[in-house]
Amino acid sequence: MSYRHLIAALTMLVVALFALSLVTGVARVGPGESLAALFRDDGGPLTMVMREIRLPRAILAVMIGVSLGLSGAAMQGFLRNPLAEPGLIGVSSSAALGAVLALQTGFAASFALALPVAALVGALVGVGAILFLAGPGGGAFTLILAGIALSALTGALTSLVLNLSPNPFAANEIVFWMMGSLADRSFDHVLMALPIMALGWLALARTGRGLEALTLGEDAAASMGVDLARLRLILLGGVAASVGAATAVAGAIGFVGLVVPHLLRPLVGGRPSRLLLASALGGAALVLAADIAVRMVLPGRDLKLGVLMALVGAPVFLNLIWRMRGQS
Amino acid sequence: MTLLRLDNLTVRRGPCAVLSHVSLTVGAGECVGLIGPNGAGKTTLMRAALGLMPAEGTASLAGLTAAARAAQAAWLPQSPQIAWPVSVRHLVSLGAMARGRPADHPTVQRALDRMALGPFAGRTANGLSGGEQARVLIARALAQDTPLLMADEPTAGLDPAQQIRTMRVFRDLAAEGHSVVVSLHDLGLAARHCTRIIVLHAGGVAADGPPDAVLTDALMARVFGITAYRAETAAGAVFFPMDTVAP
Repeated sequence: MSYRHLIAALTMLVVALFALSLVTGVARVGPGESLAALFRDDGGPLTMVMREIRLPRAILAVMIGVSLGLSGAAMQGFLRNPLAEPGLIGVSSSAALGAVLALQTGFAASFALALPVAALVGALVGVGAILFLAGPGGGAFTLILAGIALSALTGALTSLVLNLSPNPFAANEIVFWMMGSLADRSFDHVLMALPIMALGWLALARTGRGLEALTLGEDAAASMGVDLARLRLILLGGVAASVGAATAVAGAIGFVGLVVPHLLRPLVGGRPSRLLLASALGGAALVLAADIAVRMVLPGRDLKLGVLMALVGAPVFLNLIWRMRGQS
Repeated sequence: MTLLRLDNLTVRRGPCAVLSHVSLTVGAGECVGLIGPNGAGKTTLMRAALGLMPAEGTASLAGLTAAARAAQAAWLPQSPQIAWPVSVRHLVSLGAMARGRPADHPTVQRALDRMALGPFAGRTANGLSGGEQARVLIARALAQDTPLLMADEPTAGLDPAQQIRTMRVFRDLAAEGHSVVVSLHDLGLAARHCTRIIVLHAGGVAADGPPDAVLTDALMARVFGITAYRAETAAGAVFFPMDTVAP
């Protein structure tokens, strides 16, 4: 399959899943009627459901999928490692810590978007720490180590907050938030996350040439005209903005950034620059599909997106490892 | 025309100087063999010359921006790294793209032909044997089509025919007006194919000149700690390391 065909096929898949996401929900209404209600301006309850609940949910699924898929492809290309994923630099765990602190202190209830704002602040502090630790002078190895250290620290602090939580309801809320979900999100969440994510996407879209050269290692890439310090800064900024914003509005959703680039890599001839767009679309398709599945598998039970993703993602990943084992 | 100038280049690793006050120039049309025992500083000299590691003194290429340097010099590191399953043709075309040229630039096909990679062009690079991968990476550096090419032990892992082919390509490049700096352990290859030999020893230049003048018995004993059998053949000098001697 040529690159153009692949991109066209993935785009069609995203469009189809987006439409399917719009017609999936607890309200027992036919798909045709649902879609018609979206464009009908009568202020009826179905139009409200479509516009205020399902449409932002589907848009967020696309945005988060694009962010995670794109960031995963960029991280794997930069670290030249198929096991790298966006969470590796500790941005999602820092965002989670910000959210957890907001839930624990009650700040989350102070205004509508307080929770995602706190998570964004957490992500910002996290990326600041990473840039400080693995800044211009550091190589890929320093970046991985700094990310692991930051994830461990923020993870421990999150556990500490849970541990000392005097209020079981807050603890419960924290645990559910950390499972990741797109339920009950509004256009406010879309509008808050979109500008930050878009900046991240633009930054990551500029890394293609550098990532291609990095196929041959850091030394060769530097001799091929790639300013590695600049590339690292753009890449970290891009991943932090897109993944930080994604975690802020939806909680922690794993495996997308790991599995999607892995699955699509053979279809783009292994080329890191082509994997960026393909993984962005693939990530959007996967998050849309998973978010449809959580509503269809257990409609009344609020199955969390992050839980389903890990339940599906882990076996897929184990299968990949099994096949890689067979090849080597 | 001078393509590389080093003035008082010193590289330290902790308190030790790996290279100490090295000064040299490389002009167009030269095929320079960089030889010396393990740890003599061959790789360090080339990386510092390209500005890929911090050094004291001046290196003419080190002050350039990454893009300007990529137009002046191509670098072939010693350890082959191919992270992803890309095609041989695409990998070689990365050399042209480093100059902002399109992937189908004539230099790409020329590099593939020079390294006899035509039959491999459509294959996945990291599925090839180690020696074949080494040739692909040499072709990638050739496709960068720069005035200067620096290669760190490019013949390691190649079969004898490919070693000779590679050295001929380098000599041809020099004849076309490019210059090549290549580190080697095979003294015979260096003697037969290089126009000039620079011997590095203990962080400094121990000898520099035409192969015949440099590769003497005294230098073999002093720098390498060996005695070597040397014979002249129709194809040039051959060297066989015979025994070790006390330094």
